[in-house]
Amino acid sequence: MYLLAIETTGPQLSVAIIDEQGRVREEKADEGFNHLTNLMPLIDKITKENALAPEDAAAIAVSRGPGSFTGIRIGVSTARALAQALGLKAVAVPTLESFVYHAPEFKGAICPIFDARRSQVYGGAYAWCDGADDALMQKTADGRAYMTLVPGGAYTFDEYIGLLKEALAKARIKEIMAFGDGMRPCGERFKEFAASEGLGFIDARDAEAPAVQSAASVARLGLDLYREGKTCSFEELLPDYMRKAEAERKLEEKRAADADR
Amino acid sequence: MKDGKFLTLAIESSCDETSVAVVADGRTVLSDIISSQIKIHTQFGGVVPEIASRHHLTNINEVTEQAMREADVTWDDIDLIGVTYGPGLIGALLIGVATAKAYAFAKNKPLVGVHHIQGHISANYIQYPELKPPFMAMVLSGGHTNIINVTDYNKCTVLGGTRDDAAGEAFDKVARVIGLGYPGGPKIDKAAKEGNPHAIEFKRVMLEKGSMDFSFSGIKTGVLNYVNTERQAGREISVPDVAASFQAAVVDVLVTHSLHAVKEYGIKTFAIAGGVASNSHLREAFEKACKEEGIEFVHPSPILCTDNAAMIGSAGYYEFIKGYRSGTDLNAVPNLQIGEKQGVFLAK
Repeated sequence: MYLLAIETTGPQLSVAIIDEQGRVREEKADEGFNHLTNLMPLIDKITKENALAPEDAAAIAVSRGPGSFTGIRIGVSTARALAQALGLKAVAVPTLESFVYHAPEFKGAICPIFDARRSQVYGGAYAWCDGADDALMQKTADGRAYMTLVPGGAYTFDEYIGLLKEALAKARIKEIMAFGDGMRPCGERFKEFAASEGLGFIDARDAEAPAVQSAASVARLGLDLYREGKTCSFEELLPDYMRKAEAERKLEEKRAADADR
Repeated sequence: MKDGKFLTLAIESSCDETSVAVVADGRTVLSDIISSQIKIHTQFGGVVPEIASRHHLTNINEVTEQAMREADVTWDDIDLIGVTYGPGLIGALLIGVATAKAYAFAKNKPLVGVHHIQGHISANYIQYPELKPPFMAMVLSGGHTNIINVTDYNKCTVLGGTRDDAAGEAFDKVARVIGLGYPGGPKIDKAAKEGNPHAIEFKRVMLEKGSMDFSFSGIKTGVLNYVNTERQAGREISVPDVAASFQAAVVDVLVTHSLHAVKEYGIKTFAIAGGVASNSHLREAFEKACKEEGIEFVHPSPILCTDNAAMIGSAGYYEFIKGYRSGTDLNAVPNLQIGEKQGVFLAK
């Protein structure tokens, strides 16, 4: 039994396979946005090198967003077509949440932020915890649990920080590890926030943990979801853009303004 | 193979139509499902790339199921996967390409990337089972206006094209100005039927002698100036007359240029293709002009003129027969040139 995992939503494309025991192998492409060119050859490579037949996969797990709209679509449409043609189930993996597996031993808040432009970030915050009884906690395949501090969404950085501050106080968390390409525009402000609140701050770019999206984490969270029966058919596998198309937003604004008149 | 026929599963998603087809021996359409997004884009006044891409993703797999069901085939019957990889909207193209590559990988089928314009030309092979190259073709669509010398099933050269607006673009812009809205082509065609094509003589822009290029922005500007002048003078314009006169001017330029090319190259068959090729006045004008010159005129039925996957299935089949293949690294190429092959290589 194995799961194939696909990650194309960020700056670096990767694919991974995970077996029943949770053993992961990952292949990464060079950074750069040619995910469409690189994805199938990498899937071909990882299955061949591990002597796995595509049709023997238990399910296809894919990072469903948020992230680059184009990147999300390359991964999700590939996963849909693979699941359809191979007759397999799919697992839609929330990209932000997959970052919990970037730092499975970390005791503080895991904070992925992606540059969403238009002065926003796609952000979420999560923390591993001991008690697995709380209904709000997500249990993992090996009996551990993590909780959501800030639900994944598109926020201005100030909104994100506001929600995070409140959640950290409530959960009595004193340390932050920050990930994602949102650190480029917002890293300095994030660091200042942590300093002003007396919180420990780790920039994943300076740590051992991967700094951006990775298929290994998608595979791990994908296996958890698969074990809980949270699979779907290829038709039900949908991206989570977390934002409307620009034209759609403008049209709605215009209609709302017209209605007010 | 099914019943001794070579079956191509073809995918087209270059603009706002999601289409999947099954084509036998490159000529017979077993199914050609077209899921159009036109209603969605009409509220925006034109195709919105991001929205088109989102819809392609949610539509394409079901369209494939329908195409296979209607053709009554299984994956085992399919011999080849063909897909449009350019030119077109990048976000739209990549849904088709990613899907086609995944199908080819999962089912271990050969894959061929197809040029969208090659597909439009190949619609004629479906319409006319006996048609063979060489012939001259004029491709007319929202994004293309070209005179093309078709020398073989998978080979062609552009002899001329528009220097500014594509014919379809000019139709859309004029339709907007005279209040007909989007999409311009069919709306102008319909309105023109009630109008007088000689009501206003818009200046035909013919470029320097010997050139096979043409220009539509001049005609379009002529229409805009006319409409503005009339409106400023407080006179009401006759929409059918403007539509008919504009259309007559465009068709005049197209017919003159293409017949010039056909005669110069001594070619006996002339084909039209692409979305604008379903314009009824255009067909009549070409029919008449070709008849006068003793040239055979061929054109696909209106449904084969729109963006559809059956035409891609025909073009893909001939690429395959000629020995061309694409790899799992096939990319979408938004500005793929006519006659250009990227990621489509001769099999060893």
